[in-house]
Amino acid sequence: MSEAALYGTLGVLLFSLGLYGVIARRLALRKLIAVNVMISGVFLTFIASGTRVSGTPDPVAQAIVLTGIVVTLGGTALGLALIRRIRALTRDSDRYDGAE
Amino acid sequence: MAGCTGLAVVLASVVWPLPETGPSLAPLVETSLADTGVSSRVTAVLLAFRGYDTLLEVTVLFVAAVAIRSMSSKSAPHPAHVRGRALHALLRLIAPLAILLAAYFVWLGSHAPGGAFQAGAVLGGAGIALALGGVAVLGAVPPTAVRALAALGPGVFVGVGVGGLLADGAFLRYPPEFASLTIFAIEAVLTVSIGLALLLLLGEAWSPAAPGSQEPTDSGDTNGGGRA
Repeated sequence: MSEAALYGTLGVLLFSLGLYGVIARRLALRKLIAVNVMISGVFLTFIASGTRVSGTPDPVAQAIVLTGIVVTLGGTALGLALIRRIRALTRDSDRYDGAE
Repeated sequence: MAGCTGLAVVLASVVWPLPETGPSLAPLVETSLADTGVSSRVTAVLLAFRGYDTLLEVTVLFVAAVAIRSMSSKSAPHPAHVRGRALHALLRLIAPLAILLAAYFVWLGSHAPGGAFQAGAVLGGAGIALALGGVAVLGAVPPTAVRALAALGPGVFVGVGVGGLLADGAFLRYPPEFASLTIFAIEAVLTVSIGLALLLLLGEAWSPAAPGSQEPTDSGDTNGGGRA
């Protein structure tokens, strides 16, 4: 068993856990957090696959994941802003305000 | 639940038995590293070999900030501001340290892990901490200048790209003798823009008009003040 396989599988588990959250959670905020868990899993698997070399790990994998992190950040922030906006517009309904 | 478990099993059965040694672009990066003028491999990939990715990435960040700005409304709830003398003292300590750390990260990026994104994250994090602590971070800076600064990073990057197109016939090709300097300049400008963009991602909460700020300059915003 190699480290790459271990971390790669861990990434798969994170991804699936996040996917379950996206489907099963009702609140938009929790869905967004679940999407972030999914993405973390993808990054973990990607980085792990870049270490399956002798010598220095693949820098391209690291650079692409770094790019992905920033894009995820922008997307998450946009998602949060959308959720806030929706909540402001639908304040009367309890759909986004209520507990699960 | 069953579906997600099944998916996990299928994906894991693909990832687990992957061969111990896979394809790698590391040797390719290694052979071309000298051309870039930087010795950090990740920085070389980010800003030289895959400059397009990085250009589009900062553009995504900028567009997200613009989109959030366009959605900001007076009726949206403001994030609660936290106040306290201990917090204020801590923030006063953090702010200059963050700027120092960001500058160090930019310098570090040329030969070690570090660079514009790490530095920008530190700057942006400090700015967000200050904003949430009720400090008008950019209180003295006119909004137009803030937006111009946020656009400066992607703008300079595109400018360098077009310059390479005109001078060398390839978009984002850096002049070989100044490659190191060009990369450093791009990183320095990007750091400021990324830090600002991260702050702008907070929406209107960073603005001096937000409730809880020390110097309210705009009396138009009256609601939401009770959240602090």
